[in-house]
Amino acid sequence: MQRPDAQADSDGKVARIQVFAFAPAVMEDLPMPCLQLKTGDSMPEANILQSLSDSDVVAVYFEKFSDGRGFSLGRQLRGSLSCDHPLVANGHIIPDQADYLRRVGFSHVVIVPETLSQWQKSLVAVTHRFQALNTSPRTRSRPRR
Amino acid sequence: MPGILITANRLEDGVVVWLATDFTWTETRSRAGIFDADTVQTARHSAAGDQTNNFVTAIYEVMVDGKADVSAREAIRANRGPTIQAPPDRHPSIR
Amino acid sequence: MYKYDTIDRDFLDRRSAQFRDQVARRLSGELSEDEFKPLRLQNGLYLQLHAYMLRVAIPYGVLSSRQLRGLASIARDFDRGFGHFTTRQNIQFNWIKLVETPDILDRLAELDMHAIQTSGNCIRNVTSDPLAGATDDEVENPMVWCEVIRQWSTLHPEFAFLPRKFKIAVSAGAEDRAATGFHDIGLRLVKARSGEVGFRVLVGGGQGRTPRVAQQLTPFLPKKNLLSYLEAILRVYNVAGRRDNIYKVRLKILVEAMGIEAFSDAVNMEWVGIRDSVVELPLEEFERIQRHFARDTLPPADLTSEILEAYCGKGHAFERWMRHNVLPHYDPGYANVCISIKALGRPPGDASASEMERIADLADRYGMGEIRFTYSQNVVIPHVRRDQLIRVFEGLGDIGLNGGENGLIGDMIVCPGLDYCNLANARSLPLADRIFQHFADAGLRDEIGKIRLNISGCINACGHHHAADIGILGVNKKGVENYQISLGGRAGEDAAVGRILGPSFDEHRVPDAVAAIVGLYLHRRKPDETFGDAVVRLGVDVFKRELYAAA
Repeated sequence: MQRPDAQADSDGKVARIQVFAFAPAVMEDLPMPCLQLKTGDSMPEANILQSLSDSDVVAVYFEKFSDGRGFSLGRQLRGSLSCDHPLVANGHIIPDQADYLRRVGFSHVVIVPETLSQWQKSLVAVTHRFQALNTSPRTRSRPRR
Repeated sequence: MPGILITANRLEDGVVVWLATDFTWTETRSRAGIFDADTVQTARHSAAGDQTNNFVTAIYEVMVDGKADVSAREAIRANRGPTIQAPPDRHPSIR
Repeated sequence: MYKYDTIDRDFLDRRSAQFRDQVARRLSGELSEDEFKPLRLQNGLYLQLHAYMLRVAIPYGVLSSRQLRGLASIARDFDRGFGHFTTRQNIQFNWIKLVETPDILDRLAELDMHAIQTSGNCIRNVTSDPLAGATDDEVENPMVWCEVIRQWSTLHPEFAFLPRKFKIAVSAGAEDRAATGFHDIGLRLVKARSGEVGFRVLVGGGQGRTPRVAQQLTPFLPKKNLLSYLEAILRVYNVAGRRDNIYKVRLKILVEAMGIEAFSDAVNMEWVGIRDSVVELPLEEFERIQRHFARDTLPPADLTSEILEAYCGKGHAFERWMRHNVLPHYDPGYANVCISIKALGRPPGDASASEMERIADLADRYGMGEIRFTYSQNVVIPHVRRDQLIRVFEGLGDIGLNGGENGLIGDMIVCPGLDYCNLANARSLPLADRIFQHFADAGLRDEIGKIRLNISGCINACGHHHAADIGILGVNKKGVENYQISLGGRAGEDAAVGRILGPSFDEHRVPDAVAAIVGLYLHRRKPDETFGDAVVRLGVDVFKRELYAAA
């Protein structure tokens, strides 16, 4: 298993990576992912996930931010594979994707520290949801029948 | 005189612009610089710098033969609008 | 129609503020063009031939008179005083400034409108029958389901970065007026023998470089499972779509490559895990949406004397308009009025601000203040009392839009072409006018009758040329604009892709070529046989021989 690509700054130095947890803590460093997937990988076999211990990290690497397969992979890991490990997005992701990443099941993203405030801002820029309406603000605020 | 035009859209408003011989950007096609093999490298470098500085976007080059634009596309673009008459925005008397 | 509540409005306000922030970050360089592009496309903003182009969403083509007036004011304040109606029932503006776009989005938000999902690789504005809810040939009102899909697809976290754009259409009429066979997903509301209403689901249709008619994925999907089934289809596409090859990236290619059986198995594998889960629409939310589309109570209309009186002495133009542009309504005292945005000397689909304002006035005065944009780039005012049709006709006459061209040869679907588009090979708008000029005699257009002639300026087929009786495709032949002609395409229930006849023509020769084809039809048709039916009976080759015999 490989360490995710550290994001290098323009001088070629490796910038300190910050792991931004959607809630509630910010980790200073990413533990070595125990399972590093890439967008485009097919879903891992269930027994691979079962062999991990609870605190082991699963990561999905985005080669390009617009590769939306990572979002479905997140959903599938959380859904049919019942993965409840910390799920990390790394690689090329942009702050404007924060809420989408969180909503498909990612718990952390690997970012450079300078962008932290933009990530936090993006996370709350638009909080409306029109899917899974049983749990959405619209239906929650109404009396249940 | 055959040569190369460098054209782009200005980032903030999308307006079509051409690189002039002094490496500023002009909205007027007739003021566009036509670069030859000797000058085009410097022009490209200047244009690319303006893209990096977020002044223009979508830069590309057009081969020209003298002053005439070779394609209908570039002629329409230089004219800043379509070749047909848009529907009139008149205020009809309201019945 | 659907009315926004505080949640919807708050969403638009925040979305607009978010885009303002994104524009600022782009201008400062914090976002690269590569990163900004999908974000601006998610807000309907393209970079086109002349400037930025903003495409505003008209969900399934339905809008209020207030909204149409608002669009007119945007055309005047931020553009050159007109807009273009698109084949996805939207409207687009051609000379938009990036720095002003956040202000436009704010203006749209005040109108309960936005530009979300009108471009980019997402689920696009869902389209439907322009007569939805105003006709008696429908199983039920498809707009309810369009609104359900619109909301579900809004900010869908999993599907904001699809391999490519994704188009869904819903129809419920006996006649398919939404071209469901040419969509990534076509949904047709059908009634089972038990009386239960559900969806017949079609997948893998589309036009563009590789035109395909959609295939049936399931003959009957229970309504309650719509959202989980859509999620399953989209997930299979999102994971397996060919992101490596722009020419093979659409769902139609995936369906074809897998085969409909294997694709269906893949969808069912995903579906099994989410069917009847939280993904489905809660009943109370369905009922909330459905209430917005309850039929208005229409005042009773007098059917007798006034109409006949109105007919008298109004002449041929009014009769033509009545015959072609006045469409049946579920209430016999009412009609749906189609306004042809096509006339000699005007670019098909373009309408000026003042024209939009006049249409809004007419919808207020003689309709229920509601307007529909059609996929054939016309406008419908639903719910007009029959005894007031003459007044609508006269009101339209003031702005030159009272032509009775609906469904005739002048009623062409035409993309903006090289006059506006970065992708086009050839102009389409001037060619449309050339053809119209060739058939300038209204009597001749009537004699030809129902025919669909569509023009696309490039292979991307935004002008739906594949789905036309006569399709015209602009190509670039050694730097010169040329046009290929195809025959035998149709949208609707029996959708088919047209066949290219042969070598292309330059713009001067296209009208004569069209005239040769139409002339053969007039010569060989049986009584009451439409052009499309004659092509099926006679075969495309007969027309091909006729067309190239003279050459």
